Amino acid sequence: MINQSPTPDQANTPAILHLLGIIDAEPEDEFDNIVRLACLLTAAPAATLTFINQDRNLCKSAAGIDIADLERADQQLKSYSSVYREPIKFNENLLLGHLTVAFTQPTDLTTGQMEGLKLLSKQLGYLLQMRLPVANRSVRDFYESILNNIPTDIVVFDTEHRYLFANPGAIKDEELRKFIIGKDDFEYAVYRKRDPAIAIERRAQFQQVKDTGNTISWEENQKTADGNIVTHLRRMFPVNDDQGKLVMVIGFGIDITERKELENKQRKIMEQLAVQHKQSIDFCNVVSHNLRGPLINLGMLTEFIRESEDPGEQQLLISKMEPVIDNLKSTFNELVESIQVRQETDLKMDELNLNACLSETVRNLFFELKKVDGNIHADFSDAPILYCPQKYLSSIFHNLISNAIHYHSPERPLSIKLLTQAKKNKIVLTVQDNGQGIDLLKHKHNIFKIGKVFHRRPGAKGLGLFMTKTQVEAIGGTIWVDSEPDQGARFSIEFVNQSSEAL
Amino acid sequence: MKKFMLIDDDEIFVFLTKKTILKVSADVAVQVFADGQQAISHLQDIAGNSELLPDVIFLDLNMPVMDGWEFLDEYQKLDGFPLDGVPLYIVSSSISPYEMDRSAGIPVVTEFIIKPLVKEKFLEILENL
Repeated sequence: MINQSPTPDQANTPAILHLLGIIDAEPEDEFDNIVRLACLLTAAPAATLTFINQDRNLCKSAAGIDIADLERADQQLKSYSSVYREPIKFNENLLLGHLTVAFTQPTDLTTGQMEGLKLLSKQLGYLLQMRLPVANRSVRDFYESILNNIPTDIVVFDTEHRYLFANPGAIKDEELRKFIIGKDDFEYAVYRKRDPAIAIERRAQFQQVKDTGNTISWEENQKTADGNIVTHLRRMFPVNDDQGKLVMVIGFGIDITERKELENKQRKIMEQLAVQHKQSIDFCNVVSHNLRGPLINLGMLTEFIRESEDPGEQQLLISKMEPVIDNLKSTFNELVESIQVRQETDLKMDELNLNACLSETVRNLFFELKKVDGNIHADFSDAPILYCPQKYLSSIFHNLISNAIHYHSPERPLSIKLLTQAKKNKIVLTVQDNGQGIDLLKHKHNIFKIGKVFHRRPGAKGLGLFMTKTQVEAIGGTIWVDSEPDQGARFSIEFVNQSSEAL
Repeated sequence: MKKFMLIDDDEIFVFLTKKTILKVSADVAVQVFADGQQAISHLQDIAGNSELLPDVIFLDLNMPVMDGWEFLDEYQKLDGFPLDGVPLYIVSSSISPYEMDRSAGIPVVTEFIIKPLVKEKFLEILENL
């Protein structure tokens, strides 16, 4: 007697069997146990668990049937005289298969046995349902696998700041990850023999989240084993239940190194733009003052010459044109030069002997130096070789020494001291004089600006220091000055990339 | 006799401007200062003597030691001077809008004149005194 016949009318059954990991799987204890329980419950000599797979029944498990081939086990039941089948339903409506008990003699099951058999098949349904999220994984495994594979750091704390969960992003080592559950950062620090400072800091952050109920976030820099800086954006936020009671606190961290690098790049570009903007204003000013001024003078002179009828006066006016034209010429040349420096992108570095280069400058300024009774002392022993374009170093020496000569103190003979100091990959060159000095309190913002002069000296136009700064910056260096009025000035230039690789 | 204060370090411009002024009116005395510092010192020296105060001030911007802007800072700090009514003209070769805007924000500046200072402008200034 067969209570219910197999009706494989569900087209998607095989797919679900695959999803549940039934087909082509090894025998499993959890199914075998239920089949054996069915035998015990009904005192039946044989029982099977079959699933409907396309046009035939697939026997997953059997008891009391002495046959190696499970595929044929279901067929065997046809020879028994009493057979009871209970449907196994998935989600309470999809028929997946049957739990069957069979008797060699005609047998009636008691009501209790019938009900027991029903309950067993129901349990089977639940067992299968638990397999659904991902084949062979529990729900917990399913969600953990998501958390573990998200490329962020995730930790979950209980209300006392003990770890409930940490993903591999947060703690890479599996053993440590297991160790930490139920413990706090202080125990972690002891276990790993680490400074508890981080634990103290984290506890304060946790307390803040717990007390205020607000999310906190911060950025954190870490140095990796290969010396790079990695930046994480970290957040800690509370999770409350329906009544608003704190259930847990989630810590969350995401690598924002790339974003940080972009931000830094952007900031540098903005700074560069600000500098360029300022330079272009300065440049506009120098053009209007230093070029437009002499042009206006020339225009006025010409007009006076035209209006004048006195040849003597005309001669006087003409003689006044010469210095204006000279001034215009030299200002113009310096301006063009400073533009060229800034446009030169592919600078060729030369390996320069500082003493030789200085000697040449001193030769060129020989008469000027002699006039002010100047003497020069150079000590380049710490760094005798400099990597720099030859014309830049010549111009830097020329400008700084000319400056010292022009602004020497009439009260004492001029003394200029030059010195180099090697610092790792850098060289600092200092040029110190004992001249009039510069009142830095008043002029520190202007000293290297274009068109700035600080002394009453005929012909001073204030282009030399601007030019020097432009050249130094074009090769990545920096220039600064220390000075007090009447105490002399000391200019320092830091040259970078000072190795033969610079060539 | 009107007293003009000319603060400018450009010797040729000063020479030509004096010439222009004398062509317009013989009744003007021009005092020249080569930078802001010298002009401020002079104003402080004559503080007690209102007869010596200038009738007009012409101020260049680009000068050594103390430039026109620094002069204006110091000038506004001068205390107890009956300088309020004295017209002060910036006379600069600058055509930079930035400098013009900046000067427009300083109340003691009467006007921003772009060089050169022509005869017609002098006449106008003299008439307004």
